[in-house]
Amino acid sequence: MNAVIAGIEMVLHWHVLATIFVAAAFGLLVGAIPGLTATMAIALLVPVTFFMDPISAVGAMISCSAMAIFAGDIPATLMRMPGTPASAAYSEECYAMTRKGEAEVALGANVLFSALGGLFGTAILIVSAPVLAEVALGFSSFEYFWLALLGLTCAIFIGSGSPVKGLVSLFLGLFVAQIGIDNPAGTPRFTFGNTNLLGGIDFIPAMIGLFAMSEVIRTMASGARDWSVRQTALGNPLKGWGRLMVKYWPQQLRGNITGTAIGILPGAGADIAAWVSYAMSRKLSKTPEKFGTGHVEGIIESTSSNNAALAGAWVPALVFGIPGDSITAIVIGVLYLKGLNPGPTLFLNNPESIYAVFTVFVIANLAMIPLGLAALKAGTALLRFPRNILIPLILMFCIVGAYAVNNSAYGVVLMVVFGVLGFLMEEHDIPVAPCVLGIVLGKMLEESFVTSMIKSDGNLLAFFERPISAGLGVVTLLVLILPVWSAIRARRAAAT
Amino acid sequence: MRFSDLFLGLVVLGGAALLFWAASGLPSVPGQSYGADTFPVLTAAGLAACGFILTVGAVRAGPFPLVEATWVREPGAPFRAGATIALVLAYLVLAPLLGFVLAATITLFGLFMLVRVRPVTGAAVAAVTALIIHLSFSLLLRVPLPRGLVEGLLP
Repeated sequence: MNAVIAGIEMVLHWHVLATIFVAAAFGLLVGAIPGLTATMAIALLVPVTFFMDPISAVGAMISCSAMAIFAGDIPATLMRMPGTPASAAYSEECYAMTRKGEAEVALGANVLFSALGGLFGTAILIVSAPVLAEVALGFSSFEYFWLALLGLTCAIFIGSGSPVKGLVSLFLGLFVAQIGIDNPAGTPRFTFGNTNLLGGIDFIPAMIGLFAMSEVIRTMASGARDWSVRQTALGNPLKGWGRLMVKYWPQQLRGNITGTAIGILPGAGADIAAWVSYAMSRKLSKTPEKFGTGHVEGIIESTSSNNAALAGAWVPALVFGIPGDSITAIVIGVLYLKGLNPGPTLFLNNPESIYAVFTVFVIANLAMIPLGLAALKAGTALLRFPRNILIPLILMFCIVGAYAVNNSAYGVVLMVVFGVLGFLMEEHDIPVAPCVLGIVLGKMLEESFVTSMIKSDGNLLAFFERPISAGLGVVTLLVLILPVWSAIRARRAAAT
Repeated sequence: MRFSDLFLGLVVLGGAALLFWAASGLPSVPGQSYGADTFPVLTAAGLAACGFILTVGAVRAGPFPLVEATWVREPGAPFRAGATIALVLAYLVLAPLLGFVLAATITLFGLFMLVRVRPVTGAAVAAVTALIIHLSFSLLLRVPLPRGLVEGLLP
């Protein structure tokens, strides 16, 4: 109990709270601008977190990502352009409501149910993480191997267009993780005698390149023209909150549960949660014919789901050090930098910082309601800011951010390399997320695999000898095999 | 510019071959069958399989151009993409010579010109932004951005 109080006290300092609110405003800004994702907001925030104490840094990232995921709904509703990919699933539906003149109902529902979804995910995080940490204390290299592989497999086979291109992206990421001297044998690999490469690829500049610079190149190429905003005057977004909560509580609950579960699954995050929840809502609805015509039911379920997923993704990140999505992939890097090495021992040695993280989650999601309502007022003005000025400014921040990681130009070079790489990948429909997870999980996957093989003297069956390891192995293989099997079945059905 | 899946498949196959060749040169750990080369070889094998599937799929799908021209509806797009990257590289060259403020102003101004900001507006915004970033990062966050002519006159 002392740890809980200590954790709450760590957050209730004015400088921590101020950092959380500034980061929240930054998240709202980035999330509300189409093309700039929540992951990009986090990647740009990281260089600034170097100068914060650990709790402020973690708090800033939590509030920034939660706000960005919600704010993505604003341009989705007003312009049919999702601000972040997590809003893409229901942006048609939101925009249809705008065309009917009900933009304020859609946006009001987005604020309310995003916050409630986030709180639900937080509750699950608070309850499940310490329990899982107890279990994880008994994990060996076999279990970690399967967990890492499960995360990578989910990233490829759930919600990606072409699994082959997803795999190419993953192997690219695994290759990047192999560069440097940090491997089980301690041999320098693929360094070409360069001392910078000896230490491996710096993760943060690579992220800024893959997520931010690639998008800047794309927007610059298309001329960075301004958007057209359809509805600019909003009514009262609070209208009908009570009615929506009473009428759609089953949808909300279902969205919360689905979102949290997908978030906890390593490798799958808010984007996928929103797609799954929207599809589920339509399938289970009593009035599926209303979907697509500006019906709030599916919006409620999926907007709850993507914010719930955000909190859920922190469960594997904190307990196993395995990212639940690309945002927590970056967060894990920062946790290491701040000495809060994720893993079950964090719960034993440093429980108060875990409770501080929980407290920030609660505060961030509660603050989403007032801040979100304010953002709705500011949102339309923001979307009229000239884009041809905004985008070059973002590129300048990318440069300074990549430089600040190590105070050297090497970071900027890495950013350019990965920026061009990310741009080319997306031009060819190769998803970036599996590459990122490959970079993050590559070392753990290799280390656990090589250690396990040496321990078992090359016996592959050893991966199935321990009960939890066997269970994880079976789940991973199922995720691998099911899509292939259903593809073959679909092809047979098409042939007959 | 967009390459076809056939081209992509061949590039991936080539990359796999290169990786395999590089990995086979890595020394093994004495007395162990698993060492520094295990994972690179597995990665190369995976890439080769992907490249094979992509290539075969593209060949089966019929006429196979190496380059699929998109971006035609956006005249000047390849130029603007290339120029954006070139401007960042220019910053890398200029920053150690001129210092952050001048290098950043020049880069930003170039970027603004690419997307047709009015020159006067562009120059003003570029200079003010560079100054603000310098002051906030150097003074508040203590990031030693490259120093040059202008920085010497500032606090």
